[in-house]
Amino acid sequence: MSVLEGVLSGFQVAFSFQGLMFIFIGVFLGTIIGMLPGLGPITAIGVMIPISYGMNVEMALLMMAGVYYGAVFGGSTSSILLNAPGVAGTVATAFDGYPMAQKGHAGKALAIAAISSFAGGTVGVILLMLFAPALATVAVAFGPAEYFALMLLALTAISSLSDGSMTKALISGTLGFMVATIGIDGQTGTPRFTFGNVNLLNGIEFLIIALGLFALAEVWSLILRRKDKTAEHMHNVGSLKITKDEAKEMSGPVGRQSVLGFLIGVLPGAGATIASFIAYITEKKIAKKPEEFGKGSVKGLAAPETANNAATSGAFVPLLSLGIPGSGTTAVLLGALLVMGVQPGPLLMEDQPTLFWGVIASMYVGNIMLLALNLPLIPYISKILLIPRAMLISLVTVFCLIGVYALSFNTFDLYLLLIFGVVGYIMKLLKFPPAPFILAFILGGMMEQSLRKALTISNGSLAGFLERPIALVILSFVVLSLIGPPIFKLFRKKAPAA
Amino acid sequence: MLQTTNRKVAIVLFIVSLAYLFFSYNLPEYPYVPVDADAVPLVLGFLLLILSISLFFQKDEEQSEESKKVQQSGIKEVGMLILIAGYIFLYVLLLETLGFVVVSCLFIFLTTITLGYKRHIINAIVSLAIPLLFYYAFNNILKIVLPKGILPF
Repeated sequence: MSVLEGVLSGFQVAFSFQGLMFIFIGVFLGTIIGMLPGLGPITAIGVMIPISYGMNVEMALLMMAGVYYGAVFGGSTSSILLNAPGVAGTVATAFDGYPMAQKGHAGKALAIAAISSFAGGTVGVILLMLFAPALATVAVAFGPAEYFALMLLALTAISSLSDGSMTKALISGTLGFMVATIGIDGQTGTPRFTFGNVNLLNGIEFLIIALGLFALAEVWSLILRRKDKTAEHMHNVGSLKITKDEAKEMSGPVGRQSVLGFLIGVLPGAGATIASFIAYITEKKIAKKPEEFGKGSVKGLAAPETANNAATSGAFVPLLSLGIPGSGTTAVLLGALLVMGVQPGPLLMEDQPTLFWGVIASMYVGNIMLLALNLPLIPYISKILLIPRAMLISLVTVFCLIGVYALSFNTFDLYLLLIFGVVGYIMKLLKFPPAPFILAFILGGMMEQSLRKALTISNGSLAGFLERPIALVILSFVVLSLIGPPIFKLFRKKAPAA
Repeated sequence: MLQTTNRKVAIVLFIVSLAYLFFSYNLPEYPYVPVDADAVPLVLGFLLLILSISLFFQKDEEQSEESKKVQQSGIKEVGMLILIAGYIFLYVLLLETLGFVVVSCLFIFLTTITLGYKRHIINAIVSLAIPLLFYYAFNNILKIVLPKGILPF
């Protein structure tokens, strides 16, 4: 069966009445589950696996693809409207999405998010169709040294680009990394900084930090601002209208980040998260008006949304072509596929071409359905912001508390949430940016493990990094991003004098 | 010595880094491990130490929007922040004994009143409906069991 025939037969299944219905159900449920804090694609797919038992394999796959995309989009919704990122991949979405919603353009922000996700996802799927086997070999070439270098680059870049003091950004990142070292050390099994507390042995959950630093910190700020008049500019909160200029502004980041995001997504690890942060950083770096970022910039919202969706498609490359899941979500999807009797791997494309193309076609159709279903719903969803402030504050707080509780069933985690909420607010008062903190926290564990693996391979010598060309190139970027900005500043100061 | 905000913060961070380093040095060591569990924490500890010293000598930036807002709002509003934090603390404390529905209902109702919302009937309806809806959805649809507490269902 040729590629074209395969694609066509895949679409034939997806566009049948039954197929469309299951995608619709999947997207709808996925969006709702994804909007709840703490419940991201992983839970959504997990919850749906038992429902798919006994279903026709192709239909089950279509539904899963819908659930997956729906959950990813649902996560962006709570990031944009409530500043409550439920999963790591949507943290960067909140940076500009939330300010935009606060300015009264919630509908527009959600529409931009939906369109960028759609574009990123679609380009990602097309690239997946074209390059899956070839890219799998590149992903394998990435060893621990390269991963460590890549993650270090993401961290230093975000610190060097944050507004205000770079020292504060670096301190924020260091503190985030320190929090990530709490718990049992993965390599030696030593409990670190747990002070004998059993609850800390597994480390601190991502959700606690994300909801604490972003959502709860915002709750305090909303309490002080609850009497500020907002009603005037909130009347067209549900309007989806994107002006021609804004569409033009979006096109650059969407085009670039769908490709870059896909490439980063191919690498196993924190695909969507790293991709969304790197997208945000690069767009800020090349933007003509970087000062707009963080205040509701169209580019700042479109870039991470495009990248995280493109990266999710990228994450399918190692899954489908090698049978190795590169992220938590694709691991659950692998489970779902296995339940349905599909064994992903190098042989899938040859042995079961209908299924292979079926999966890809279902991703494509799931993406379209997501846009078709969610655009009409946006005006209603964004009305959430019209709830009176006093009530919104109490509801958001309960929302965060349940999200964390449902994760571990442990009230200790809720106390931690409160503590990080206070820490987040103090950081806000003192102008310490939260982004480096959360990124360092997400990447910290993985960075430490890759660094130590790389050093173990080279028997403790740092020279191991020098022998790996890819790692060396990335590390030189790290150095550039740290010493670059101060040097630029010097030049700028000298320039007018000359 | 403590004139600027940066200096005060820097001293706190300096102490944090010293404490972190102290605990890092006290981590047990293992033979035959090229890079032990304390390696990365030591690097982080010294990094924070250096950064806090560097912050100490930096001039204060312009005040943040948020701290201006706190100063404008006055002591009563800051008290409100602490009060709500206290409510959250009570919520967590009582969650497993009283149950999710009861605690959430009380929390939403009281917090909303405290923050100045006057339409009590609407408030009562919302604070009853939302927890019940969540409770039903989590327990029966998502199969995530929230604490039942004193309620029979």
